[in-house]
Amino acid sequence: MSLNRRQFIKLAGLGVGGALISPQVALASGGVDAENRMAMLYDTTKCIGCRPCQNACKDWNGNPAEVDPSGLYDAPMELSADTWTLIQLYEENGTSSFVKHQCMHCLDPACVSVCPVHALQKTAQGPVTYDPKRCIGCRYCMIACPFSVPRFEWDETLPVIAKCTFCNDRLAVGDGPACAEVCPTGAITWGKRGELLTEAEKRLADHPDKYVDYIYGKDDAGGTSVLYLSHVPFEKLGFPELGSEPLPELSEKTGLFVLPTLLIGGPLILAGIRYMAQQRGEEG
Amino acid sequence: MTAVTQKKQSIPISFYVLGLLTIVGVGLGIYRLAVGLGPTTNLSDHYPWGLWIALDVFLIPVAGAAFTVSAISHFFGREDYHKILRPAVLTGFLGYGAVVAILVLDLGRWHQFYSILLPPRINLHSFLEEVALSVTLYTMVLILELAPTILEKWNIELPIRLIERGIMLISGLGILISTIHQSSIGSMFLILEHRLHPLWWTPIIPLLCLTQALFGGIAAAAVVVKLTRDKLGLSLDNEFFVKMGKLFGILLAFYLVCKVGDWLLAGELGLLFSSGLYSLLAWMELILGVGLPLVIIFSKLGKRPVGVFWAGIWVIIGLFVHRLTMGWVGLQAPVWATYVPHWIEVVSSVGIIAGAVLVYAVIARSFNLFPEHEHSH
Repeated sequence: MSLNRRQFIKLAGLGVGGALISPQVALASGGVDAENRMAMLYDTTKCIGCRPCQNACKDWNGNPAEVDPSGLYDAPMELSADTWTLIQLYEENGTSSFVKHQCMHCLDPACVSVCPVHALQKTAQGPVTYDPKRCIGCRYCMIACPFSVPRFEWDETLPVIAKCTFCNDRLAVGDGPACAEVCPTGAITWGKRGELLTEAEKRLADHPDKYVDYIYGKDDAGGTSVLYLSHVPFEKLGFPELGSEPLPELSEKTGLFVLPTLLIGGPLILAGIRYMAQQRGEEG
Repeated sequence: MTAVTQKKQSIPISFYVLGLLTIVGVGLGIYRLAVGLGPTTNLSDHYPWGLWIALDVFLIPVAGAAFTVSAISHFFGREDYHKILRPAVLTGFLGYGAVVAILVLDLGRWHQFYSILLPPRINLHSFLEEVALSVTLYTMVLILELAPTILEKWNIELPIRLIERGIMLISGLGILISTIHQSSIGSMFLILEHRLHPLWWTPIIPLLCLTQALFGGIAAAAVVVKLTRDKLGLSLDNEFFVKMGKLFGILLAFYLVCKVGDWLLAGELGLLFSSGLYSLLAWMELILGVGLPLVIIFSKLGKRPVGVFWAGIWVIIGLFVHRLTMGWVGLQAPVWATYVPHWIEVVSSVGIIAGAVLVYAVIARSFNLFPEHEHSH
């Protein structure tokens, strides 16, 4: 399948431009310090769907409630420019689970890789942040995010991209994300990624009967800063299967190989063609 | 410069139509910039990209007319291609002009467009940034390549001489930048494997897009040159048209081999029959945009300019289908989400393209796109 094809292309690329590609491998993804970056752990078995996390998110970030056309409050159906985190309920054949959605703060985020102007950045602490002063509104990040997290203020004249900030401004003063701090059941916890992974593995080991044996976000898409434990299969909760390779890998390697090749090889080839054409002209 | 010997003609009705469309398009464009994307488009969080982006990724390979003809003429030393350099460069310039105009409409924060040029902001990992930088730089190259055509009318000789002296450097730079961004258009989609339908997503998408620019550019040049010379009442060089047709036909065949080979290697040939609308779009491109022009070119029809012209038209239609799918329809959204372009998206695009055609027509009538002295060689 496509994996084979990728490997095929990779091998072909390595054969031609191996020296150009190899340094990039070390640059990709969070690397060793990923364990020390801030992360969240969400556990479906502890979530009761009470939603103060949603309200705390809106309060802290100054986002208005979503209302119906008559002005009455209605719970949002999906993430939006005003709703950066959302609790949803999955129910099928008597099995049910709540699930919380927000930015996954990937270790090697596609949105950061594709943003032409560095409006989206991965901070050293862990959050993926957004700077509207740089943004040109191309929406490549929205297309590139495998979790469809970035949203756009479609009704504004000069809209901005909107998404969960991991409460970057709260982290700066030592507080945790607003949603995690109000969670009454401990379904959302926050801390260093390494410690949360240890905690998640401990829960899986202590209660193998309670969980699907998988930590979503540990390796998915190269690893994310929001980790999930669940008692129902992850695909039921809307989590895509992305493999463990960071999304930007293929694209960034291609750039690293193709660009220098064209920049160096291009002029040489053009000069060569020109030379041969002139030779032919003189003969003829 | 003497050549413009046409007597003053009355302005054809088509010019008024194009002019009207342009005015409406520009007006709607200004309205869009003033009120935002919400009231003027049907784009949404699930369809962040739509018609405008698709048209941009379609127009860029068509505007490849300039760098392909420039490469064959200047570097491969083909004198006959030199004769069509001016219309090809003008086509390229106006194509990129339309691309930039449509892109500005699409950018939500167009007022910060300059961000793409500020060194501390530039993200070279982003293929979109590469494309944006290339298009900016290449537009300047095209202005230089086009300048003599315009300036000679008023005998402004110094800049013309300077440009002619540096033409190898200028056009070489243009060819290099074009090769980069024509393939980068494809590379933009490498990171979208989770989003772009597998019939279109492939790791060789940069190669496919570059090849499309080669045959699309030459085909567009053939179409434009035939139309222009017909309208100006100039004769056509039969033999040369047949050569052009063969050239883009061979490149088209190479494209077909790459595409089918890639599907085969990926085990995706079955998707051509099982993907509903996507299968239909893939077949449309294969039959109308590849098969049909190949048959025309390599049959008796391809021995006449009119055959090459129609082959070129079908190539451009195929390119349109492919790029529309790559930039819009193939980017899969949740099944319950829908997007049909708002009429303002459609009419503003038509208006901008009409404007480009109008400027071409005006320049073709008032300036000398086919300098006589080139024929005497």
